[in-house]
Amino acid sequence: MIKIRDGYQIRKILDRDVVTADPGLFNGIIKLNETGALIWNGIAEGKDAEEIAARICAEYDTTMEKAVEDVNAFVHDLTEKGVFEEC
Amino acid sequence: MRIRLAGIDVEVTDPTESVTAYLKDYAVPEEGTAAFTAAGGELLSLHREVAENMPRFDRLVCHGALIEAEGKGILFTAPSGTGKTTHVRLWKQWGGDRVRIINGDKPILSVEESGITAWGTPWRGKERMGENASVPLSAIVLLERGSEDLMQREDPADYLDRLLQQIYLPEERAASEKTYELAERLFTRVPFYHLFCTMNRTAYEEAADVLLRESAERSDQ
Repeated sequence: MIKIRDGYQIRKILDRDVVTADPGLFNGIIKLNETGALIWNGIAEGKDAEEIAARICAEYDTTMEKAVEDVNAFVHDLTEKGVFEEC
Repeated sequence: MRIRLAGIDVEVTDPTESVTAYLKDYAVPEEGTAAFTAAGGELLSLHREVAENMPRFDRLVCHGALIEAEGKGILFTAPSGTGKTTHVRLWKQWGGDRVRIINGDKPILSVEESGITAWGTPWRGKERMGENASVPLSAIVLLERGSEDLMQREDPADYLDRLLQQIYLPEERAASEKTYELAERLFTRVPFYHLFCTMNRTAYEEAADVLLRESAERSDQ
């Protein structure tokens, strides 16, 4: 189960979704693409990859397979950056 | 010691001799209450304390080189070592009297209803470039080293990560939230450009051509 580590949050700046961190965690922001915010919110709600992928498919013209790939890639990326963690 | 930074009075407590000397161009008589107090033991910690407090007064502490060219404020920003100092020196060298370097390292921006103003500060970088002056901010330029000189108007939303890295983010929650709000207001109101630049005169010519020509066109309208 993936969760968002303390001190990281998502927000809109200039109408773009970005990840920001409490000071001392990382300098700057992480830009999110269109599905990023959707995936983040899914993680925050405790949904698993398939459920989040289903939401992506409902919003965007893509396959379930591709959507699951996107979710996993996003989770991997943000885990590497120390924003998400396995628990 | 009382100083005035970006129009805000700051009471500096127990400044050392070297801090006093460093701040002297910004000293003002002690009249009335200062907006806030900061410890004057050391320059970097003083800067941090100032930067923590400024957002409360609608001010952002930035990393960049600020010039005034033909009455217009231009803020060049980029990570350290990119070439901001070199670039503004080109402006001064080739722009002559039309150009004034206001701050070489850490200017302050005031973001108010009435307008956005860029201010000099005592933190002028190792070359000590700058003076106690302010100018309405006309443009923000993100510099990047390139093999050619090319300046383009861009959407700051596409460069948010790089731009926000050049703005001081306070540790205290309310101040950091205010900083994001001020940054958003800033980028909504001030034209933003990206400049690929060499270290040559042509970099100045490219930037000046775009910035001063565009503003001349705007004022003709």
